[in-house]
Amino acid sequence: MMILDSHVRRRRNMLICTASLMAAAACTMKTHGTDSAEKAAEQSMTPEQRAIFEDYRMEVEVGRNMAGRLLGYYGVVEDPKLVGYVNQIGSYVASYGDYPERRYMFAVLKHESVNAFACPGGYILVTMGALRNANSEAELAAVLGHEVAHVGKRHMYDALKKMKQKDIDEASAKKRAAIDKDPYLKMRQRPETDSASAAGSRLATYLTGKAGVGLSIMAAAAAGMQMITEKGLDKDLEYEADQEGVKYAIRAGYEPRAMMAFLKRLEDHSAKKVKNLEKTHPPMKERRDQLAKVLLSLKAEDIIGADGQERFKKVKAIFPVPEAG
Amino acid sequence: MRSRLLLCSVTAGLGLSTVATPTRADQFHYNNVLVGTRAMGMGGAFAGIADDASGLYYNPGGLAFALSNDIQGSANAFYGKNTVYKKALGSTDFSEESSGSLTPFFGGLQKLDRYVEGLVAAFGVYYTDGDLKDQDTPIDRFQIGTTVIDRYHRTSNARAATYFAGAGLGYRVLNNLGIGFGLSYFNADELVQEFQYAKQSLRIKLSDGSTVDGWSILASNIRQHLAVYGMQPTLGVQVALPSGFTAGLTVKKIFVATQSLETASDISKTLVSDTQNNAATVSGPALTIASPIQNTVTKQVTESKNPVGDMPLEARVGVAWFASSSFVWSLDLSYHDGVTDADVKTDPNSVRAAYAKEAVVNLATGVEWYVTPTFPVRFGIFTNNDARPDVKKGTADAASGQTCSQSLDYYKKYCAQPDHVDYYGGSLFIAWVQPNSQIAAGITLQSGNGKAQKLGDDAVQEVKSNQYTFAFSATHNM
Amino acid sequence: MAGMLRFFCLVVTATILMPIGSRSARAAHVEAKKDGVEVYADATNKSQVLTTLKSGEAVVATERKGMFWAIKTADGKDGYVSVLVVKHKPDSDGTIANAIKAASKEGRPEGDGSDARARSAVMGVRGLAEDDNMANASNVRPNLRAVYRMEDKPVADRKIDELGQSVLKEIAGKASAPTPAPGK
Repeated sequence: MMILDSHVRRRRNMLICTASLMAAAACTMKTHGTDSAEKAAEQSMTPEQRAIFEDYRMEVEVGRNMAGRLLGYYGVVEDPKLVGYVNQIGSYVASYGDYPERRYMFAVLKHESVNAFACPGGYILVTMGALRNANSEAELAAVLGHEVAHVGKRHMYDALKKMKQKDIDEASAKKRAAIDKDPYLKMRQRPETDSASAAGSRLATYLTGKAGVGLSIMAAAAAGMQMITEKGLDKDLEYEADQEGVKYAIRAGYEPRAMMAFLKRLEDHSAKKVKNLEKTHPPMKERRDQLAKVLLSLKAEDIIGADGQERFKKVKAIFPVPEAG
Repeated sequence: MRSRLLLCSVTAGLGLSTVATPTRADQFHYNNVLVGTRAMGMGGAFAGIADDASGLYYNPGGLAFALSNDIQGSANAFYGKNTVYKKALGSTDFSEESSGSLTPFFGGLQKLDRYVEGLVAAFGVYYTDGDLKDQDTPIDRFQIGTTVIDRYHRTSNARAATYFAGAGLGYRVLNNLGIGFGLSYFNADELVQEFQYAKQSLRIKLSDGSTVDGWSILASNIRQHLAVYGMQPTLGVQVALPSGFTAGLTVKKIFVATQSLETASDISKTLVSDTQNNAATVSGPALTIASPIQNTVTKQVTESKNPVGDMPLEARVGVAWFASSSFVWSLDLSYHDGVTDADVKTDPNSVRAAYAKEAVVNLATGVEWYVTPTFPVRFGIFTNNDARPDVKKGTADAASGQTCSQSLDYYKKYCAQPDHVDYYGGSLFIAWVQPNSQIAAGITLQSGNGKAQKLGDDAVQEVKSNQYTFAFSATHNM
Repeated sequence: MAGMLRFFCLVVTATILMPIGSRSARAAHVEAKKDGVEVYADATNKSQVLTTLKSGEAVVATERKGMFWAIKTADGKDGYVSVLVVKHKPDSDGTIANAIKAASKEGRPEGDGSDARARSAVMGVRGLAEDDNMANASNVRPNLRAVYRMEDKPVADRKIDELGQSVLKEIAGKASAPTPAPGK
């Protein structure tokens, strides 16, 4: 399923419009915001603008929740130099992306699998395994560019919004598959707290004081987790992220063939890791074929790109010792 | 004569005896148990469910159907109890109050499918009853019949706890059949300390015919400690029936290993004459006392090695209906058999008489309803019947010698009988459920009516008793 | 509704923001670093020079082609400028960034995040035995503190500019070095 450019543009225009109205009222005054200014900005919004703003708020909430779970599960690398470096590369590549106005935040997960996760709201997590598999800053930039593209184009969030309640229930039901197989245990199960019941939503709203919050975000986050860890996005979206991400990295000045090299090295080193990755991504060969097409269109053979080896080597020296298993 | 007897009977009846009546906590009531986050909200009707750590108590067969490992505990419970013996002291009611807090239950459950498919282990530590009593009853000037008591003061401090610690296994024999076994260490401990003081003013007639005003003073100090240790094996079976029904059966019995009742008492009876005309209120009848005026002090220390005898067998049958993921109903019927004892028949003062139990049947039913996926409400009602025998009313007939003091037979049948109070109760709890944990809070109320003979003679008082318990509980699933 | 809103947005956008341009996917600008920057007709310096840019003059840049940016001149013509002689300026007008920032700051509870909001985000699924499945990531409690730390560490513009200059320097260095044998 391709997201059409015009569709993207229209949404983006609406958003810029909305946000700029808000900005006109408040944002130029502050970085952290004062309550009254924000309230004034909010009150000056029309219902449509408010809806868009609320949508962004929802996106941030869902993304936070998902990022929080991944960080909780895998553990987070704390080294400020390493994390600062990844943030610097990621933000730099994002500034050459199609959505430089968004916030992109990066964290490093304490896990040796090769993976990176783009959560709605701009929370991008990359594993130590992925960092170790990279041989240069250019390769890291390509990987981060891929995630930045996912975020900017809102692949995950749009997919979640398109999911009907039934799909969300199915996603959480899959999680309980082990018990569902056993009828005598299944009958003892109490209701799934992730599902959004109308009464529960109302209660959650009452308790938290925020409209539309609570269970529906949890349901979306749960479904998002399922997507991110098991199902994967539609493969067209993955190709798009590959290609757009590579474009961003090239625009930023990096060596164009870095992504190819990264994927090839992964394939050569670990069949198991590839299998894991291919659970949620298209097969390697097809990805590299699609990438080759993009490089051709950009006249990549003429491009001289940076490797960032000096910086990368320095950072590589401070990589934490790999955890056992 | 009569006055003296009255005096003795008054003071004896006001609890003054060599045997302090056992703590009225609920050795004789089996259904006021706060074990299990879900069970306690459902009135304790859990033998058909029993699929969490508390299953060790209700039905180890239910452990086999546990959905996940769990750890649960009642963090705190606060209770209050008020019992009124109507018109026990002349026209005055006699009240007893107790309150306190206790930690009823902590337990855990671990699924062992990794080692043996369908095997589940559980452990639990639980208090089935506990009482902390601090009673202070001072009464100035009251009249019983023609006897006037100037001052009566009783303090009673008691602590009692019945405690189990054990472990068990549940096994899924068939897809729809679980069996389980548990073994718990049992300890019942009661400590009672009572002090009584009674002062009666009277006119003392001496053998030489002269009269002198004075007082009769009774003071007693009694300490009584009951300790029972034993083991309780439990067998349980649970079967899943069609349409979401389940049925369970549990059988358990405490086998007593050691038991002892130590009693130490000092009782002094003093007659004091008011030789200085010091405000002795002469209001009582004349009492002929042999001269010289005698004072007595009795000291007694006894230890009984078999005070309680056997403990009853318990059988519990339960059904549950898992109507949907948000509604469960369950019903339990429990039976405890009686413990009769030969000693009771021969020795009216036998300690065993105080602990004798009759067969008891109790009913409990409860529901769990998930109003929202996060907030279940649990509600239950239950009976909590007294295991002591009914209080029988006798008609004393002094002419034919059928009175408490004249006839042992009459005494055994109609005098100084233990209380009998049957309760009805209800529980209401609400919980906050998260995917891996829940906390619950609520209240259990019991109200009971019954009869008692607090004075040690054949007078019967109506008893009204109310008890409330606030409880909190938490469960964590893993 | 969409039509009305679009019209409304166009009006507002026109007055507040730089023209977005309906054809390009983004509005980024490149700025000539010196006087006399050539704008070529094709992505090669062997093609015709359309015009030159003065130092600081900005044009809208779309895609890369080889070592060139595809740009649009002020009078709407398509051209190419070398990446080595222009400075890139992403169109980050800050409004969306601020909107998202406001959305996330607003949603953040006081203190260390262990209040009802954070607690309501406790996740997990009852009843699953453990296994080494990655799907268990769904079952853990979110580490919101770590998420907030991510939010609180924006990269300074200065650092991004520095990196950009280093990258450009490396490219320039390689470009002026003798061409290595074609690799992979």
